[in-house]
Order: sequence, then structure tokens, then C-alpha cells
Amino acid sequence: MIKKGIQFTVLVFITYLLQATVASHVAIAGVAPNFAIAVIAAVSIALGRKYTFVISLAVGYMLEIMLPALDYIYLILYPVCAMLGALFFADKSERRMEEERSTGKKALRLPAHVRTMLCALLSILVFETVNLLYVYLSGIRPDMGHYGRALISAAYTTLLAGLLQFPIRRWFGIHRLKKAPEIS
Amino acid sequence: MDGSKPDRQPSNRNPRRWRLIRRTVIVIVVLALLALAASHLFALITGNDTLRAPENGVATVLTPLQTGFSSIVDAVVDYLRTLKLRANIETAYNEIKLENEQLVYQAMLAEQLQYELDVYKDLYGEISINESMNPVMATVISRSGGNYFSVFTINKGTSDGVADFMAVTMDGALVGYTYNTKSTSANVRTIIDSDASISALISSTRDQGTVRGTLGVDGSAMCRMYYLPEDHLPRPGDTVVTSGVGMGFPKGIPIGTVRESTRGMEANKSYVVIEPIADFEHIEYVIVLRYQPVAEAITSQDVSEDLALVPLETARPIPTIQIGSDFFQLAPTPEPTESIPLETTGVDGTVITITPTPAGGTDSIEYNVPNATEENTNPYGYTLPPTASPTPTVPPLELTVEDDAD
Repeated sequence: MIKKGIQFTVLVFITYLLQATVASHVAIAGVAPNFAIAVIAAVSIALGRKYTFVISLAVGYMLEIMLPALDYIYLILYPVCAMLGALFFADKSERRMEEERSTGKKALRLPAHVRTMLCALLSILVFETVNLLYVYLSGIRPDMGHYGRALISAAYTTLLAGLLQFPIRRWFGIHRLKKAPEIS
Repeated sequence: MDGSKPDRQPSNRNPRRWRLIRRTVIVIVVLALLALAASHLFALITGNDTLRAPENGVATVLTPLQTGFSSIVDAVVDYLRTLKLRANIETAYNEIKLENEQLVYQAMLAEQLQYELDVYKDLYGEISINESMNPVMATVISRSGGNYFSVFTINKGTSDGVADFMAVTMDGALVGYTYNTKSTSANVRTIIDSDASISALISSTRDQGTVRGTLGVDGSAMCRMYYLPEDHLPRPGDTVVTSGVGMGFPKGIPIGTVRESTRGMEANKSYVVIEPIADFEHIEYVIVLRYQPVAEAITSQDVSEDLALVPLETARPIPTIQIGSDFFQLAPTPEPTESIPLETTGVDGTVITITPTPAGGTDSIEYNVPNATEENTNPYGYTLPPTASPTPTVPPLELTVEDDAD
């Protein structure tokens, strides 16, 4: 647990540093990806909702106090986006799965890697929507340029989540399924 | 041994206890984060600086961490940017190099085309002013590589009207004459070949002789002129032209210039060295003068009292000046014109009539040297007017000497 806690703490800082320092250097067509949401999406599928909430709140808080572009936005938006994505795509609890089995409800069960990308896509779409809404409320009418940038950001972040999930899952040791002990 | 990993030993830790600890830690962390967020929000809302203490503490921790990480990222980005710049520079260098090679090739092609154009223009000019010589342009298709003979082959033969012993010129100078003519080709023996023998004359003194090549004699691409009158001494620089005697050569084709004379030496070494005008090292295109002198048949040899002397047309007529009742002959004029006699008034009031006789015809049988007037022009391209009293161009310096103030 201690090792995992340390790994998770390091991941939180790395996520913040990636978003604060690297993102602007890897912009495509002037649009920087959202490293934080990509990593949070990977954490959502790999580690669960509790870790998702902690990392989103921590990263959002650090971005809020260190890069205060908009008041309250990062601090609130990152946990909201992360939890929204985790709500739809994170692993279900055993009680929920047992409930689905008992009721005969057949839910769509996608692979974890695909769910990670879908989680990132949902989170970044919510994030970009809120940002565009904020722009609109500021008196600026969003045009095709704004929407185009939002779509590029969504695609870029989704692709980034699909790539980053592999090292993150491997680092936390959940890149392969554990075999059940054989019964002799 | 089935190759499988040994089963893990069951932990002796109490699962419920550990689960409780884990949940407690998570709750504490979450509460701490919420407290930090709340303090930040309240600080923003109320503007109370005391509530900013937690975020200041976090910023104090994050700032050096972020500084170090940012410097690392910047270094990596600079390195990658340098690599990209190098790649771009290399790409641009390759493109420029390729473009430069293409430009060099185009320049070489343009230079070659310009050279050929100049050659064709010269040939066209030479052909156009000597149309009476029935010239035809020919291309040199092979040449002998020997050190003692200088012959080459052209791509014109009897089917083109070329026959043996026709004059071959280039750039307004005699190159040689044709021989061994075939239907589609002909050989040309140059004037520097030892076997070549051409009747020539020195243009200034009109002394006639025979020009022979010296390539087989001493290996030099020169000519020698033999059989000159012993009482005349040619000057270095005098032009030697064909005399039109023998073979089918037109008269007046420049051969070369007098370089030196061996007069006064042994009798069998009495010749004049002629430096050919033609550049025998760069012969690509030549002109064959298909000139055939027409021999007029003598109709009658009867001599009668009615026979009137008619002055023959000569290429260099001698004008006669009539002053009063006296006639005087002047030096030969280079270009006789059949114009109206000039009349002028002398000092004593007599009318002076200048009548060039005999008149030269328009169909001159003498070879016209292309750009002959340009050869005598100033090589510097300009002529300074003569000044009666030359003045120094630089005024003398006015030097003053100042006494030392001390």
C-alpha cells in the first residue's frame, strides 16, 4: 500500500508537471493536449474512482494555485470531468455486477483500453464545453475556430490517453490479468 | 514441478485492519485536499490572506520542483528543436545544392548554346558576305591524332557540291583545302600540314610566294612562305592572304601574319615564318568555298586597229587624279567605288576631278573577310581624342609647411 501510495503521489506530481510544462511544447496546430485529463482517465480505468477523485482534485488544486487562468475553474472542473468519466467507464463494483447478473441486465463490456480513451474523450469534451461556455459568457461568440480547436484538443487528448495508459498501467502492475492459483 | 510459480504465502496481516487503515488514509487525504480547496475558494471569495497560507505552502513546495522540471523540459525541447533545425538546414542545404547543380547545368547549357549561337552567327555572317563563293557549312566529324599531319574530315562531299582543292575557312581565315572527296564526306588538309602548299601573297607588298606547313618539319603549328622576291623584306605583322593562283582558291583569304624572317641566312633557309590566324585546336565547324573560277574562252586573236584597250577590273584599282591637264596616280585604294567622280577646287582655282579607274564590279571575286573593320579597331573599345597640349589629370598637391608653434 505504501509503495502504491508513493507511486500515486509521484504520478500526481508528474501529471501536474506534464500539464504545466510539457503540454505547451507538444502543441499541434497551436492546440496543446490536456495531459491531466489523459492521465486522470487512465487512472480512472486502472485504479478506480477513489484514486480518480484524489488525483483530479490534487492536480486541479495545483493548477488552480499555480496557473490561475480562470478562478475556480480548474479546481472544480477537473474533479467533475474526472468523476463524470469514471461514472460511465470505470470498473463496476462487485455489488453492482452481482446486481446486474441477478437482474439479467446485459451491459456493454468494453476492453479497458477502449474505455480509457472513451473516458478521456468524455472528460475533455466536458472540459472544452465548459471552457467554450465561459468564453461565450465573457461576451465572445464562439466561431468555427473555437470549435475546431476544441475538437483538435479532444482528439489529441483522447489519443494521448490511449498512449499514456500503457506505461501507467504497467507501472502500477495492472497491465496483465492475474492468473488464479491452480487447485491441485 | 509443473513450472508454475509457487503460491503466495497468506499474509499474516489482518485484512480488516489494513482495510481500515487504507480507508482512513484515503479519507484523510481527501479531506486534506478538500480543506485546501475550500481554503482557496474562501480566500478567493473573502479576500482573506490568512486563508492563502496553505496554498502558499504548496506553491513553495511546487515552485522549485516545477523550476527543475521545467528546465529539464526546456533543455529537451531545445535539443529536439536543434535536431529539427539541423534537419531543416540539411534539407535546405540539399535542396539548395540540387538547385545549384541544376543552375550550373543550365548555365553550362546556356553557355554552350551561346557559344554555338556565336559560332553560327559568325558562320552565317561569313557565308552571307561571301555568297558569290558558293559557301557551304560543314561539321568536322573526325580529325587525325598524329603529330606530323594535320587533316580532318568534314560531313560534306560531292553530293553537296564539294570537290577537291576547295578552300576551307573558319572565322574568316584559311584552314586548308579539301582533298580525297567522297560523296558524303571530304578530307581537309590544313595549312600547317607539311604537305600543304598554297600560293599566297603579302597584302602590303603584294609579293607572292608559296605557303607550306611546318607541322612535319619542326612540330610547330606554323607556316613558312617561300619563293619571295629577294629584294623585298616583309615586315612582322604583315597579313598573308591567298593569291588565287593555282587550285580553285579565291583571292584574298587571310592565312596568317608574318612573324619573323630568315632573310640573309643560307639560301635554302630563306623563308618567312607565318603564324596562322585560324585556331586549329578548336575546329568544329568550317566553311567550304565551292568557288570555281570560270575560264572565258578567247573568241579572237586578231589584232586590228579598232582594238581598244579596256582597263581590267582589279580588286585594288589605282585612282587617277587630274589636276588641270596633268594626271597623277595615287596609291591603291582598298575599296573602289563606282560613284560619281568627285570634283573639288584647287588652290589656284582649277577644278580637280577625282576619277577612280578602273571601277570595281559588284560581283567581286575576292574573298571578303568577315568583321574586317573590327579587327583594326582599338582593342580597348574607345579612342581618346588627340590633344594639342596634354594636361595632367591629377592636379599637383598643395603642400604647406607650418612652423612649430613652440
